[in-house]
Amino acid sequence: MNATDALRLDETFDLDAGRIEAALRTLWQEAAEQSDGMPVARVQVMNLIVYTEDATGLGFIEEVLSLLPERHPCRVVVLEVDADQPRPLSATVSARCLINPLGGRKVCAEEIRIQAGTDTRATLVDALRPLLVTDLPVVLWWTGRPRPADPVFRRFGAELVDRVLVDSALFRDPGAGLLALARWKDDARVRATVADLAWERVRPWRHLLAQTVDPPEARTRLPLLSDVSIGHAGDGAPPEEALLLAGWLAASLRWIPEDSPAHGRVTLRAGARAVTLRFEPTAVTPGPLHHVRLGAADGTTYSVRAADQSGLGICTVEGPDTARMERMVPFTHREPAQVALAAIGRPGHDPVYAAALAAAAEIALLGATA
Amino acid sequence: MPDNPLSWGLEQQRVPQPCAVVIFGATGDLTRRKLMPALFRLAEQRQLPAGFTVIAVARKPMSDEAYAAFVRDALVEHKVITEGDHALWTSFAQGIRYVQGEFQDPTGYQRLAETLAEVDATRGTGGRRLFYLATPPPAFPVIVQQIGQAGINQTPPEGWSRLIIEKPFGTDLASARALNHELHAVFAEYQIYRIDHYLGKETVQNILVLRFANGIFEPLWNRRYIDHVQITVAESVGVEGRGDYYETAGVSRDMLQNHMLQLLTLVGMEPPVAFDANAVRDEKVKVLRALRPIPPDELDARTVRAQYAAGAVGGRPVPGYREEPDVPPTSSTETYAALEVYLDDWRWAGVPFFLRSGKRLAKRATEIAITYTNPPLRLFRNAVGDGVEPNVLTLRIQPDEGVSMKFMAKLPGQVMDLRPVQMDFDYGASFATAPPEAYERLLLDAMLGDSTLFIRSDEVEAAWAFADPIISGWHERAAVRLPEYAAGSWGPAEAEALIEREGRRWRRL
Repeated sequence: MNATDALRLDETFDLDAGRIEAALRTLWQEAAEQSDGMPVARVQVMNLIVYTEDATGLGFIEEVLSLLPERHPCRVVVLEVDADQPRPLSATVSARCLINPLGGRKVCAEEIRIQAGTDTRATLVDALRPLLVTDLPVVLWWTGRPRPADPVFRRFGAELVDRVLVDSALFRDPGAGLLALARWKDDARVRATVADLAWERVRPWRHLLAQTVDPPEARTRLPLLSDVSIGHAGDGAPPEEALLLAGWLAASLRWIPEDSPAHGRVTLRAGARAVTLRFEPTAVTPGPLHHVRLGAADGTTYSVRAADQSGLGICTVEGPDTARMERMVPFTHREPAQVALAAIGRPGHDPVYAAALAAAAEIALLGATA
Repeated sequence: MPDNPLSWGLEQQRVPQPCAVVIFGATGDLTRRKLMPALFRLAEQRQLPAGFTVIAVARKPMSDEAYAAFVRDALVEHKVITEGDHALWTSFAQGIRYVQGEFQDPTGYQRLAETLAEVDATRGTGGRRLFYLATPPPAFPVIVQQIGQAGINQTPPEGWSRLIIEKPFGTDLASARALNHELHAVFAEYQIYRIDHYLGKETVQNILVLRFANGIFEPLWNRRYIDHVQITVAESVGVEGRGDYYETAGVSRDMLQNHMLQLLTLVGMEPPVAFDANAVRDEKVKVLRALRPIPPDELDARTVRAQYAAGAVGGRPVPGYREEPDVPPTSSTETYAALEVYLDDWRWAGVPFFLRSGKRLAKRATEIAITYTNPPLRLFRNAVGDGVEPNVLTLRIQPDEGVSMKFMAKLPGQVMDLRPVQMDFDYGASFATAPPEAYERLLLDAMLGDSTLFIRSDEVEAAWAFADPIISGWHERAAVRLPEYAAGSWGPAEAEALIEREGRRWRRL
């Protein structure tokens, strides 16, 4: 495991791009002087802007940033906004260096930390523009509850960044939240693509389910699926992860949400066929999801569920003509920082997410989560 | 086959159809050390399908459970699992079967046929079977013949049968042809997967990516810009208790005819029309056919062979080759070889390729170094320093896998002081994901039916057609005492002379 080391200039600046760049140059010289002859590599694959209004969440942000140089070295701009009082814009600079304990190269990524308040918040987009590294993608990680209606959030998406990463699980109302996010994404003025930590948490489930239905005989049954059940945490409405998983299945298999005959149930139209989707609250789950079960009209079922033993999953295939086949597989439980790190590094537009989000919003709109 | 829409947008995680891997030589060292660890790691990475089954075939009488315990011990010994790992192991062990049988005994193959039918029915393997011959090569013909006679190479329409064999593929051109003939009596060429584990290494595959997925290298990849190429496969170990094997192989059969020529084909090949098995292998065969033969009268000028004498490796004294166990004191087997070879084709005409490989060299290192020609004009005549050095593009295969480029730069200051600097790309430091072991990659490819990284019969024969006259020429000179090099050195002085005669020198690794 590589260690990271932080270098910091104990000086606070006005938000002057020239002074900040000069301070960063000083920092690089210091890094080279302190490297004991090891070459220092300055590596940048993107600009990452981290927006936070919650001082209590800074610890988590720090944890993610400490992992960045190894996976996605970049220029980081952390925006710490005080949402309660005015504050002039100010900046500090630092660098995080990845040190290989076996010696050799030292890779450093630079960090600019900007403080803002209620009066200066609206100017952030303009202030940030000259601070970004030319010609590299710009990713905004919006920590805290996504606010599609907030003018600053909208300006980031319309004018400055290529990708906005949010966590839709932080919406107060999952259904309404996903709907708002889907509408924001489809707004013609928004040029940024949207990425979602909740979608990242669904990824291992998608992988396992895709594998389980991959054998040729299973693929031939996909057009025969008639029942889907998704087990999720809690005893109430399905969380965003369950809705996104349902949306993904619907979008991928071309099912059209049609009706919600009862709480937690949705009927989807697959050509002349109807598919019943059930959300099943489950008391004990290691994460937001517990199981997914696909049932075909001939009685064959394909299921994936989290095993009682942490870090394992169970894939099962059974049917009237086939012996029950169960396979225990590693089902990586990723720490939240690892999930964030993976989501930050995913490139560009994800059309599968866009389709899943739209379908999840439609499912929510039917009242399935009400 | 219908599409799987649920896999859209996910990283390609390749999972084969449910199948059975039948391992002959299931209690042997290769199975314990490489095959079972590779199969279990694939299971851990979720790259084996539900219903995946291993059918072990060996001489000892043993139950399924006893063999599963044998595998578990091997996995614990090689630190693949710990004693405490249960759930995943239990799931993997459910797919282990054991069949006792002598390789030449038809009744063993009948039991194997019954077991295959049983797993087809109960585990959904559907007549998909991969036979892996992890046995000494002399057993290959009889096993393949018995598989044919038992009819277990025949499968239903949705099934397939494939055969993996390990090198050496013959000991000379005639025996390689004979082996191919025997294999082809039972399996078609497209069903045969000849393993050279070097091709399973990520960095070897990256040679093709570097060349054909980047715009900047390929235009400079020819005789106009390249002065020469050095391919080094150096081992610091000796024969490691395998003196009797090495006596029959020598470095020529152990390294030169296979690994080194495979590396040469990847550096020398033309771009394939597609990245598929036959297109890639067609181009590799062309390189082997373009190798200019080394006639007997040029053997002394263009090749060097030598044997290691006592010396020290890593500060530890080690014996000479002739003092190793199972090596006769009069042995004339070469443990080092260096060659100057040429490809007589449009791209490479006149460019020397220097190949060297040996045991008990200073360190373990495999690399391909491409040395570019110097600029046409010496512009910085008055520069301080040693003058302009050629650019060298180095592809490091092992250890420290990576790519580096040496170029000239000016030292900061008032005078024109030129120094070579190295631009380095290190796979280990650049990607957080550990590359798969070669056997994991190759076993998975074989289950998926992708033979790109396996060697085709015409490749084997073309490689032998080049190497055979060299090896036989050396053997005709068996009476001449081989040059020696001290263990822990970089080889004999004769090898230095071979390359320096051309005004070049071996790279210091």
